[in-house]
Amino acid sequence: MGKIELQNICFQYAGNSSMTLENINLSVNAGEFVCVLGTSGCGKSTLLSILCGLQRPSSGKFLIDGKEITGPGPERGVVFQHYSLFPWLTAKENIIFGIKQVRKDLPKKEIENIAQAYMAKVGLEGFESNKPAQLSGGQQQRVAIARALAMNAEILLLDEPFGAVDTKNRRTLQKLVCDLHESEKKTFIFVTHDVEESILLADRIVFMIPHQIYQVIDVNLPKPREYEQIRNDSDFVALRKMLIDLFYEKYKDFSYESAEAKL
Amino acid sequence: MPRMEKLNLQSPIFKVVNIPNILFAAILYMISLPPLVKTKPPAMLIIVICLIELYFIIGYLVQHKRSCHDISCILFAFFAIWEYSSKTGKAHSLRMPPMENVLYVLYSHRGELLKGLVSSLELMLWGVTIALASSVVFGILVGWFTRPREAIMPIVRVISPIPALAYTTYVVGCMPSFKSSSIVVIFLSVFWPLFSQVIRTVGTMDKRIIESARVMNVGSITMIKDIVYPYVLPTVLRYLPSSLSTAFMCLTGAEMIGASSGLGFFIRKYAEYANYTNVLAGIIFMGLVVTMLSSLVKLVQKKFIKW
Repeated sequence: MGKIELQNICFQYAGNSSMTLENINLSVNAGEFVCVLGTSGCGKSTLLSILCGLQRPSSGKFLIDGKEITGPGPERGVVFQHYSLFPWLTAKENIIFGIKQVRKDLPKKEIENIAQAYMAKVGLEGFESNKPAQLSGGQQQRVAIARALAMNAEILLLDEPFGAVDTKNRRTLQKLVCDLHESEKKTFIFVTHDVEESILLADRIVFMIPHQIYQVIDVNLPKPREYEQIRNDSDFVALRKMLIDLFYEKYKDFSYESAEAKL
Repeated sequence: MPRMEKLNLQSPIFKVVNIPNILFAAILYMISLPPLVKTKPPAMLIIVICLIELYFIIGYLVQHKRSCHDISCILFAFFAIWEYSSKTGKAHSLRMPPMENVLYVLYSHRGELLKGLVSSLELMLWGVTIALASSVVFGILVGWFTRPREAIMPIVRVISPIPALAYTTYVVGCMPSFKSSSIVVIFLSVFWPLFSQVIRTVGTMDKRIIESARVMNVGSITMIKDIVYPYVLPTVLRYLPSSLSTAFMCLTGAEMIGASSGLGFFIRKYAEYANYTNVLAGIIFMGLVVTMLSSLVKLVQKKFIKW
């Protein structure tokens, strides 16, 4: 469960003369980890908001397990870069709120137990009663991931979730995401503009240029991948070079700053 | 020539010899002087200035808050000037009665003042509760849905800046009883500003919070009850102290026009007899009440709003 199919998706923002997305075709298998890579403004976040159900495509079909999707649904959990959590609820209450949206029938005690288990899974035991403002950016994202998993979604959609986290913490969080993908067997779609992050995490990388998918690249490095171990691996280096070259080649008319900043 | 030593303000001598303490001693000395006109026992006045001294000692000498030093200075200076004027006969004893007498009224008329307070607070409780509940409920509903927001907001913008005092005479004249008219006046003074604020807060709510909820497939009722309402709550509590002062002001206005109870009535009644001693006592009492109400709200804010 959790197979995603995008067929000829086009999207245009109201009042915009040009298309933001043109003829997007993508098929993601259940349990697969796909990174969507591209610079800011290429439409990758728009693509994700269609997958979330926040935007409806202007044309084309979006299917999950063969069923057409027209809005948000319990089979998808989402983690944004900012403000995924409700600031007035504690970390645990945020997770409980999420569980309650999909499992209304469960007794209160059991919901609490699930929330507690996922707090532990993301390494946040002891932070249950902290409000988001009392957590670091990385910890907030851990809670958001825990909530999406606790809601038992088949598909996790992550929109540059570690974009505002420092490098050291980002590595830890990437490892956490890797481990969770291994253990939970969910479909992950992870939007990023960080080349190394995408190689580290993905089974396949969807490279986007403005409005469209330019290339889908298989990442054949063995999993689980540890950054420290594979950073000098020849395949890793080659893939990274290829992706950076793609950035330079395909974004000639764009600013390279965001790509360079990541190197 | 002797060398000038730099003045060390930290030295122990300044713990005793400082402006607030000098003023404190001066007031005590003036209280002990024989009065020109007959005055009441100065016990209440002594209690009040001792309380200020205590505040000074704890705040400045123990906790080293400079503001406590300055506030004590201002309060003591005020009392000193007042006491000096009345003890030397510089002030008209009727228009500016001795401090001893004014503060003594807080004791001698405590029953009447408390009765007035209870009566005023009861009306406040009704008016403010109804206004709070309705401004939050309607504010959220109007603010959440685009069409009513666009229709109602321009109208609210016209009504909300009208000072509620302007309605007071009209409402007191129109309503069947004083109780109902006071509640309406209080309601109007709290409702409109808060209603417009709630609509604005909901209308400009952080889009990312709404989207976080929407992707969780949250239904309309949950959205309003669990997302919009807690989001709006801090705004309501932030505006509440000023709403309470406005409400109290309008209530006092109403009580001065058409009541037979309440603090406003207390002041008006004695003003008619030119008993300014009691009028001043009523005013001071009212100041204390409003301050306590606002502190109470601040306490609630601290307890409940932690984000």
